[in-house]
Amino acid sequence: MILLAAADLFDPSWVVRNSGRILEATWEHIVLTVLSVVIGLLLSCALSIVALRRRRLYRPILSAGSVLYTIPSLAMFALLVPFTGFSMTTAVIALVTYTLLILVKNIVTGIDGVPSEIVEAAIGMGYEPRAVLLRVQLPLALPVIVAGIRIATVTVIGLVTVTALIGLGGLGRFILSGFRVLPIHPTQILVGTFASILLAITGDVLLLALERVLTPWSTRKVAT
Amino acid sequence: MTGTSPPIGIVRVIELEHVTKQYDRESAPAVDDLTVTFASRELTVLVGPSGCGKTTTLKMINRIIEPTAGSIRIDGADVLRRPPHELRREIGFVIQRVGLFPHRTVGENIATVPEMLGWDRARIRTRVNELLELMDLDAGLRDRYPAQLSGGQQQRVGVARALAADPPVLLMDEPFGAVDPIVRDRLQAQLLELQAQLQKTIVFVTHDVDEAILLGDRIAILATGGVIAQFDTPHAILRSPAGDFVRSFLGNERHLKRLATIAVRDADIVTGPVVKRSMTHDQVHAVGVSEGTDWAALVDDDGTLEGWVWLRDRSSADGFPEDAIHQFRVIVSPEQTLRSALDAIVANRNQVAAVIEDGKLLGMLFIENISRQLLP
Repeated sequence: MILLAAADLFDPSWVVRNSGRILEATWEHIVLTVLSVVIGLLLSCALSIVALRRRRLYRPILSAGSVLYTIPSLAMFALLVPFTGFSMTTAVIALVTYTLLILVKNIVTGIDGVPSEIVEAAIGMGYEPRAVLLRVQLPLALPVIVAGIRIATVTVIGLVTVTALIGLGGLGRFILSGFRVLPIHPTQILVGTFASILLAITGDVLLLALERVLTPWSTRKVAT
Repeated sequence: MTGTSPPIGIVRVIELEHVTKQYDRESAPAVDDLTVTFASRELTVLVGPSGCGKTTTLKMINRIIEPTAGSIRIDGADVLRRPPHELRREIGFVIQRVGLFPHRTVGENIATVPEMLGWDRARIRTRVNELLELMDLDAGLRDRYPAQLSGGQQQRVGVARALAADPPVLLMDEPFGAVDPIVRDRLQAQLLELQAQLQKTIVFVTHDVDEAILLGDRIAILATGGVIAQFDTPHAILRSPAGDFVRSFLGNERHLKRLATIAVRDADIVTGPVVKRSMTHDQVHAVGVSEGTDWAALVDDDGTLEGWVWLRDRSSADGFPEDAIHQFRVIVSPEQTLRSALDAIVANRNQVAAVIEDGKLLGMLFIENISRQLLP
C-alpha cells in the first residue's frame, strides 16, 4: 500500500540537493530543442523552396510530413536506435521529423499569403526572382512562419521528455526516474513536468517577442 | 529633371508589332496581332471593356506578361532581348492596388529602384525628399509605414516609387480605380500637372471612359482581343466615333464629354456688350443699340471687369452709381473646359458667363456659343 502524504508530494529539499542536476537537465533540454528546431527549420526551408518552385510537389511533401507526424514517438525511437544507437543523433532526428509538417505548411502558407499585388509590384520594380523571395515575400511571411516555429518549439519541448527513454530526455529524465522507484517519487515528476512547461512558455514568449521585433511594420501595432 | 539620365534613348517611343498573347487555357487570344505605337512624351490611354486585353497589352511592355508572338520595342530596342529585371528598372510601374511593400517605410518604398541601381545613400535620400515634395506628400510621412497612410496618400507614394529613378517610360494599370471619387479627381489633376512638367511616355490603362478623355493625349479604344477600334485624340474620337462599338462605349453623353475636351480659350468667345466707365451717355446708348441689348458688362479703362449694368441706369451726371453695378453670376477662366463652363451657366439659371483672365474681361461665353462648338 502506498500512501502519499501531502508533505511527500513535493519535497523542496530534494530540489535544493539536486539543483545542479536540474540545471544540467534544463540545459540539455534547451540544446535538444534548439538543435531540433533549427535543423527542422533549415530542412523545411529547403523543402518549402522546392514546393514553391514545383507546386505539384507540395501535396506529396505535406503527405510525407503528415505520415512522419503520425508515427508515435516511442515507435520512432525504436525504429532509429538500430541505426543510430542511444545517441543525441537519434533524439534529434526523431524530434526534427515532428517539426517538418508544421514548418513547411506555415512557410508555404505564409509565402502564398503575401498579396499578389505586392509580388507583382516587386517584380515590376525590377527585383530578380530570388530578391522577390528574400526581400519581399519572406519578410512579409514572417508572422506566419514564426507562428509555425512557436508551435514546433512548444511541441518539441514536450517531446524532448520522451527521449529520456534512450538515456537523454533533459527534464524528462526526472519524470521517468520519479516513476521508476517504489514508492514513486512525486517531487521528481513534478519538477520535470513543471520545469518543462515553464520552458515551453518561456520559449513561446521569447519567440513572440522576436516576431514583434522583426515585424515593426505589422498593422496590429500601427498607431493611427 | 533630376536623377539618372534615361538609359533608354531620349525619344521614348514604344512600338508593338504584330503582338499576340495566347493564354494556355483559353481558346481565343487575349491580344491578337496588335500593332500600335505609343508616341514619345504623350499620355496614351488604353481603354475598353473588361476582357479587351488592355491590361495584358500594358504588362507585355515590361514583360510581367510575356507575349506569345510579335515584337515590342522601346526606341527601336527589342525589350524581349533584355533581361526582364533590368528592363523593368527603366520603366515606372503603377498598379491599381498600389502594392506598396508593407514592411518598408514610405521612404524605403520610394527608394526601391534607386537602391537596386546602387545609388549612394545621400543621393537616395535627396531623391526621396524631392519625390515627396513633387507628389505633395508631407516630409513627415517618410518614416511611416504604408498601413498608416490614407488610400490617396498610398497611391501617391506608389507614383513616387515608380518615378524614383526618373524612368522615361511609365506604365499605369488602373492606378486610380480603387480610390474614392474625390481623391480620384485630385490624383488625376495631379497626374496632369506632373505630366506637363515631366513629359514621360505614359501608357495608362482604365475602363473609365471619362478618365480616358480627361487624361489622354491620345486614346486607344480596344475591343475584345486587343483589337483597336479607334486610336485618336479624345476630341477626334468624340467628334467622329469610328463605328457603333466606339459610339456605344462612349455612352449617350458623348457631346457633353466632347465639351470637356475643349478649353474656353479655344471656343468662340464673343466680345458682347461692353461699356467703359469713361463713356459718355451717348456712347453707352450706342453700344445698346448696336448689340441690341439693354445691359452691358462694365469695365474700367484698363479692361478690368467691374460687373454688369442696365444701360438705363446711367445717370447723366456721374456715370453708373455703385449700387447699379451687379456682379456676373458666372465667371470662368480661359483654362476651364467648356463642359464646366456650361455646367456653371446652367447651374446659375443663366445664359452667359464672363471670361476673365487676371481680372481682365476677355469676352463672354453664351450658351449658343457653346452649342455651336458641337456642330460637326
